[in-house]
Amino acid sequence: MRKKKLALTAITLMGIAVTFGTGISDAVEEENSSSACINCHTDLEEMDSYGAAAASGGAAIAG
Amino acid sequence: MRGRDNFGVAKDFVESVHGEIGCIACHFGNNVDDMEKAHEGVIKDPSEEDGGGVCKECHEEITATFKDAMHYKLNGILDIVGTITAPHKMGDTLLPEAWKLDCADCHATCGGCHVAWPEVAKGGLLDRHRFKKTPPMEKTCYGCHGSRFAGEYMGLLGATADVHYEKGQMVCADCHTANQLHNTQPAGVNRYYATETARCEQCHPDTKSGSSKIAMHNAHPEGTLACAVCHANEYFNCSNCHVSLDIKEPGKIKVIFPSDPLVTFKIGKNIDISPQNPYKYNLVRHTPMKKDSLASLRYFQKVLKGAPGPEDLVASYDALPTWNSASVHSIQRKTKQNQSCNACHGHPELFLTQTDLVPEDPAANKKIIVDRIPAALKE
Repeated sequence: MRKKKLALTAITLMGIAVTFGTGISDAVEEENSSSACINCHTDLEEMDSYGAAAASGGAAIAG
Repeated sequence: MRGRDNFGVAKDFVESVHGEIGCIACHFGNNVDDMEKAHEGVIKDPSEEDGGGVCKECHEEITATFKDAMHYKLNGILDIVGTITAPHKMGDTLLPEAWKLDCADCHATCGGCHVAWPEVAKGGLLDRHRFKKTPPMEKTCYGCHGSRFAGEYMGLLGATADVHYEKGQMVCADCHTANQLHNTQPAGVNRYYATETARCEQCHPDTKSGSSKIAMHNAHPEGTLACAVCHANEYFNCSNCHVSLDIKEPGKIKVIFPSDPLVTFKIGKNIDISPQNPYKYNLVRHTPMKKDSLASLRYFQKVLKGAPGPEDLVASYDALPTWNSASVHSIQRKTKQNQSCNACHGHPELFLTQTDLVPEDPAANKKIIVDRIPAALKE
C-alpha cells in the first residue's frame, strides 16, 4: 500500500514537472520565435504598400 | 513597389538555412504584433560590427580576415586623406564628420553585398532577403564602383564596352574572387594595385613578352607596358572638386560632388611599382582633387563647432599625385593605339606630359609624366 502511494506520488510529481516544463519551453520558444516578424514581412502586398508610403515619407518606424 | 524600397521577405527564405535562424536572433527587436514595439532595438545590418557581426558565428574563417580587408576598412582612402592633410590631426578638423556622412558609405559589410544593396546605394533588400553567394554586380559592386568602372565596363560612357562584358558576359567576381575580396593580401596594403588581384596573364598566358605569337607583345620587353596601355579605350576622369558640404536646413549637411567629367587616355610612368603591378608604364586617371577641394569643411567647421578648421587643411597636397595608376575597364583586343606601331609611337597626345599639367597641380604629378615620347618608327 505504501509502495503504491509512493509510486502514485512520483508519477503525479513527474506529470506536473512535464506539464510545467513543456509550458516553460513553449514560453521560451515563443520569446525566441520570430513569428510576428515573419507574419508581417512575408505579406508582400502589405510590405509593398508600406514601402511606397515610406518612400513618400508617409510612414515612420521605431528602432 | 517591390525590391529595394521595402523589406518584404520571401517565404522560401524563411525556410532556408539562414531563415531558420530566426529574424530576432540576428536583427533583435521583439516578437510582438505592434510594429513600433516590434522594431525597438532592431539592428538593420547585423553583419556590420568587427568584420562580420552575427555572421562570425558560422563564417569564422571569412570574417577573421575580412575585418582587416580593404573593402571593410577603406584603409586606402584613409591613407590618402591622412597623407595629404598631414600634419593635422583628424580630430582637429571636420574630416571625421565628413567621413561618416559620406566617404564611409562605401564601407562594405557581409549584408551590404550578399543580402541588401550597399548603404551608398540607399540599402534595401536585393531579393526578398535571399542570400546571394555571388553578389549581383549591377546592384552591389556598381554601388561603390560606379561610373569609372561600371560605366566603362558596360560601355555606358560613350566609348566601347569592355570585351570581357560584351563578349565574355563576365561579372566582377569572375576576376575579383571572393577570396581576394575577403582577404586582402598582402596584409596591411593601402593601395589596391599592390594587392593580389586579377592578372591578365592568368587567363591569357600566351601574351608574355618573348614567347607570344603576337609581334607587338614581343617588341616590348616584359615589364615595360601594362596590358591596358595597348588594349584600353578612352576612359572617364574627374577633373576638380572632390567633395563639398552644403547646409540648406539647420543640422542637415549634404555632401555634393560638383566635378566636371573628362574623357581621355593617358600613358604615364608607374610610380606604384609592386609585384602585382610591375610595369614601367601604365594608364593614369585624373582623380577629383584640387588644393581647395576641402575648403568648405573649414567654413562648416566654424558653423558647427564654433571655430574654423586649419587654414591649410590639405597641407601636404604636393605629397600625392592627382594622376594615378588606373585599372581601366574598357578593354578591347583592337584599339586605336594598337592598330600599328605608329598608331602609338610619335603620338604625344597619348602620353601624360608637362603640357597636361596645370599650375595648381601637386608637385607629385611631375613624377608621372613621360619624359621621352617614343618616336615614330620607320615603316
